[in-house]
Amino acid sequence: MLNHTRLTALLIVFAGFGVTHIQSLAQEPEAATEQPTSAGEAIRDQITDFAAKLQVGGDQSLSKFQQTLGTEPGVIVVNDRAARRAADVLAKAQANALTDYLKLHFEQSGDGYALRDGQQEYREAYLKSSERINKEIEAVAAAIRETTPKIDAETDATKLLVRFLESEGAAPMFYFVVQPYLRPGGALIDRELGKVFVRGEQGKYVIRAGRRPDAEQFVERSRQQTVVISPLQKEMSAWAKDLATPDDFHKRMQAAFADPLFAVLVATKIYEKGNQPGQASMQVNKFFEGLENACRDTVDGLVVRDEAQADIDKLLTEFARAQQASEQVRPMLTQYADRIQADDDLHRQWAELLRGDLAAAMFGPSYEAGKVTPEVAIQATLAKMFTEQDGRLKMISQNEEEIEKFASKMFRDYRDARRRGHSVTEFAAKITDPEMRDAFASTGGKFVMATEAKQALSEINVEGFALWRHEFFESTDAGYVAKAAAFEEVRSILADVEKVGEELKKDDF
Amino acid sequence: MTSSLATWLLLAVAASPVDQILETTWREKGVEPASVCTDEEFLRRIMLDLVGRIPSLDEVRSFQANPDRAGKVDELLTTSAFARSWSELWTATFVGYSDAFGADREVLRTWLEESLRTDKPYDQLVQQLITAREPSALSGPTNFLVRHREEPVMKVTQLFLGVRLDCARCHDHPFDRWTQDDYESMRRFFAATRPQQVTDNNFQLVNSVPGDEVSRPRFLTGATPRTTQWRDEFALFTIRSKPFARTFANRLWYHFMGRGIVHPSDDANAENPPAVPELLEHLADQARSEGFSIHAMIRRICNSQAYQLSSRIERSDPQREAIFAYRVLKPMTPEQMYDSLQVALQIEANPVQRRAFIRVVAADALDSDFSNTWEYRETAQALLTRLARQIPPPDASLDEMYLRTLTRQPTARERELCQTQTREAITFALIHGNEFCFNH
Repeated sequence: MLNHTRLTALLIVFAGFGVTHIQSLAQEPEAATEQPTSAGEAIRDQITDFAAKLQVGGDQSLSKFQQTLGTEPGVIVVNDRAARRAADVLAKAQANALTDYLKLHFEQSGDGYALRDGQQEYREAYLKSSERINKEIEAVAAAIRETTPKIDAETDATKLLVRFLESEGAAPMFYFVVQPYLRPGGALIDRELGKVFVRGEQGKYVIRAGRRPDAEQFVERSRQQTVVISPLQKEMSAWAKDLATPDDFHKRMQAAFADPLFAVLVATKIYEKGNQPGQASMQVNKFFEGLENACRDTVDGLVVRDEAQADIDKLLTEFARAQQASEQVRPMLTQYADRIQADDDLHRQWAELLRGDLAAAMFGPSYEAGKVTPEVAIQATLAKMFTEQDGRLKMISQNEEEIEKFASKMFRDYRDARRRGHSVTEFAAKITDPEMRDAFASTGGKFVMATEAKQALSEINVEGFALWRHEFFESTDAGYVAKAAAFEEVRSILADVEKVGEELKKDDF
Repeated sequence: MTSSLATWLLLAVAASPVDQILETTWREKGVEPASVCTDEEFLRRIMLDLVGRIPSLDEVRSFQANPDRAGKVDELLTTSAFARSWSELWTATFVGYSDAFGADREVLRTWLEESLRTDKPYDQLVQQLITAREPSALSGPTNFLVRHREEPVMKVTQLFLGVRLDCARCHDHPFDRWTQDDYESMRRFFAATRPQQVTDNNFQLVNSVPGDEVSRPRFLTGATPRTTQWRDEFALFTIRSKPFARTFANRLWYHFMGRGIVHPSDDANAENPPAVPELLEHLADQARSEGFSIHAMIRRICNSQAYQLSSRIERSDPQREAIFAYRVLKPMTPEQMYDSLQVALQIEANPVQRRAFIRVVAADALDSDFSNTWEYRETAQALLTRLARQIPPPDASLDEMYLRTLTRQPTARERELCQTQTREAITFALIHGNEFCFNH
């Protein structure tokens, strides 16, 4: 139905952005089919299991094959067959990734393409994501428009860069580079908690073996903070009731003091300075002493002295920001906590901790700090090449070659993406749903599509050994029975095993 | 037949093959071996070598009452302290002291500890280190190649084949037969392996299927892979080779004797032949016939007379030292030093303090990490002084203080000197002296 092989190339180009460059252990630039094979120990177990269930009957070659599967050369040769099959399947999956993606969501309808039944949720999410990304690209474009005139284009390299920045490709290409920083989302939480946790075999988070002492220390420290928090909350609540509310400022203050999160934030600040339990209670006392000094009693209740209002206002503003950040981060932390493998007390304590106010208060500020505006992201990228002097961006002289390479690569990549993007545009033109048609034709829509197709590709788990086994053996109640084609395969494997054996005879130097 | 020749022959019949080979070597070279060490010296030595600390007072007294040396070796091999101590030793040997390149030392160490506890055959252990694929945060052996991702072949050949290919990386080896082409051919075994980040500091090692047009690797023995599983075949070529067995035997011999039969132990080349070739071949043959049992090789070495020779000599003699006619002094490792101080000074174990101590004493130097220079750190000497000051003076007799720290009684001269000293001063002197700091 759909024939969009050129779209696949676009996917690869798009998918390549932001992916950590991986080099081989031997820094080998030579051509190789880049397909991972199954895990070593896992396939060894599968081969052992297969050998035990293999029905050899009276066949000598099968009997010899069964014995060979118990040897190291035998395991290596069969693993080789499995790896080749896995590589073939993955290569095909990669080639068909975009076609498969489109097939999953669309079907032919007359001369065009309509969304399949049951794709309403996909449609809503796709449109929402596309719109958001298009807006972000526009923000990046605005940031580029603002920054570019500040560049002193004195050399050919800087002139080349300015030409690129003024081109239509600048915004989408820069967007690919800075996108992870604009909306750090769960990635930031993953990064922070990834220092302690790692995703285990069942996809659940487990504490890294080497980080257990740190994990224990963190829980203990949090427990100490919790001890301080409870009385602090009670006292803050009492202060809220004591406050008079003659104006908005006092009303804000009362609302903040009545919020249990306020006490949590105060406790977090106290412990940020590395206070021990004894010191912490001193700090709490100091905090209330400060409040006493800042307020005075009136007939209606406590009011803040004029000279202290600025400090308290600063605290309230900080709280409002932290409160917002905590609320943003809370669902992510809860989601993370749900995926912790609660095997022991330490894991359970962590899960409980992440669901609470304290974790939200602790992680909220770093989540907030992790977000950057498009302007900041662009400036950070350019700061590697330019230095700011009197409001102008001047090239760092030794970076001329780097700037030239960067600009040339951006030009080349954009032209490549643009050329391949025509196929997507052609496909988009045939989509019957007008909103989806516009979204698919937009840069943001293409980005969403490429990201989702790449994600689907990364989730493919190819069992190379199972493919090989299925090709040559039939699974029956009695075990694995050789198909007709298996005998030639077995002969070939035995011959290869013999060759490996011959090589092993060269055992000294 | 002279009486002395009869004594030699008698010894040769009764002795283990290891001792027979060495006695023949000593006789041929006209070298007189040192006497056998005392029971106390043996206990201190075997405990440092197997469990990484000096014996406690109770352990000294118990061994004095029943000095069964072979029994002690067997007993220590079954302790958790053995697996723990050797896992630390081998982790430092395999990946150094830092978590560089995202490798997780502790995950590797835990895996090694379990391997040593169950006496996993050394060839199997090394095969797993070379072929590991699973995520490094969960799988111990993966961390080895994750740590050495830049030049895996150099580390692997040095550690497991005793060969240094460093020179051949840029030019043909000046003293040995290895050429740049040999290096390139070996390097290609890892060309189809890539570290792939799963999450932060968590990598899996992915094998690719190399295309037919790619140049194939070649092992130092001349063996070439016959499948696309180059790394797996490399591991098999390694562990089935004779140099692997020799290097294994030499590594353990070096640990216990303080000197390799090939020395330096990871630099076998034409200019650096084994000091006693028959001994190296014998041990390598035994390793293969015993299925690379680490425990069996340890028993073989530790129960030999050669291991139990005294380190007390009038003066050092390179010729005698090279053929193991006396025991060479070994400085304690940082781990041994901390754990021994803990025993001697009767202080409670403190993992955080221990980790800091190890870093202070050795890690920066061993990892060539000069970001924190020694000038800005507390020196080992200062740390020892502080530790000694923190410890209350032992409420014990002079004999007990000596037994606790040096595993021996004081000499008459030492008794005389100590009469005028405070207990703090004696403790300070005992833990600062070479006799405490060395494994002898």
